[in-house]
Amino acid sequence: MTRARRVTTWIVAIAVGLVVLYFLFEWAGDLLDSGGAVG
Amino acid sequence: MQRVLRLLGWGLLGMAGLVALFLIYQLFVTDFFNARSQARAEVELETSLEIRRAELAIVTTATTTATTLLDPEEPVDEVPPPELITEPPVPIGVPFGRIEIDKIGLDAVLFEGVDRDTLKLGPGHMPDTPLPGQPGNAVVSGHRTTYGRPFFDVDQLVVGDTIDVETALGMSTYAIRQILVVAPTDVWVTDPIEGAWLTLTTCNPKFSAAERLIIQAELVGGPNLDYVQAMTATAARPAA
Repeated sequence: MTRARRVTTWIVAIAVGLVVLYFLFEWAGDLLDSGGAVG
Repeated sequence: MQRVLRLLGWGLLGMAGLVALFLIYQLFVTDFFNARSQARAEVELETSLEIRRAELAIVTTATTTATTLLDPEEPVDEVPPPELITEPPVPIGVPFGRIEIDKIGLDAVLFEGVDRDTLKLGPGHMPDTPLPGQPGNAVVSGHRTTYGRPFFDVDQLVVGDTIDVETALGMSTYAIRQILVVAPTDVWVTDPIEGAWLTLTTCNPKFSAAERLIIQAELVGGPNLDYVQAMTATAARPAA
């Protein structure tokens, strides 16, 4: 594996990880504070 | 055995890191997003208020108690009936006013809507309830601990404290009459109430969405106060 390919793989993996974390945190955030609306 | 323990240790460290990241995101990063939204909304609000002020409508239907309680044979000074000034509905996600509670240092732009995305921008007005300043029960919801935490300190409010809401109508002042804690499904707190009321709803206790803290305040000042008082007096008078 060339160095450029390895770097690209890491960048993609980190980007995918951040997107997954964002959605996970947004979902879990509702347990902490759902916005306060009723119903 | 040593390998398993090492793996377990790394796993626990990883989970602790994830929880720390989660808390940093929720408690600080979301504040940054909200601050940007509020700054943008401040600019939009100026235009929104200007347009909406031009669309205010005056409705005059209430009769004053002064005219109805006088002796019918005596000459009556013409008392003009109080005016109700109404505002057009607001599209979801649009800033249309601001809420101020001096006691807890709250000054935030109000948006229309209580969906997830709108409440990330700031306190939101529940559609299908009257706008603040209008007769009925205007419901406003807001985050308690994330996204700018506009209602973080509302538990410090007591009966008698005041809440100001500015809309195209002008400034309406409410005095707190009731504070209660209910379940998140207790939608009856949004039911219409005689007079003009403002109901604030937020998560309770802090850092949990298990309950809702409800603050109900009655209109005590504003452009529609005379109308609301006349309507309430008319409704309270026994039928002849």
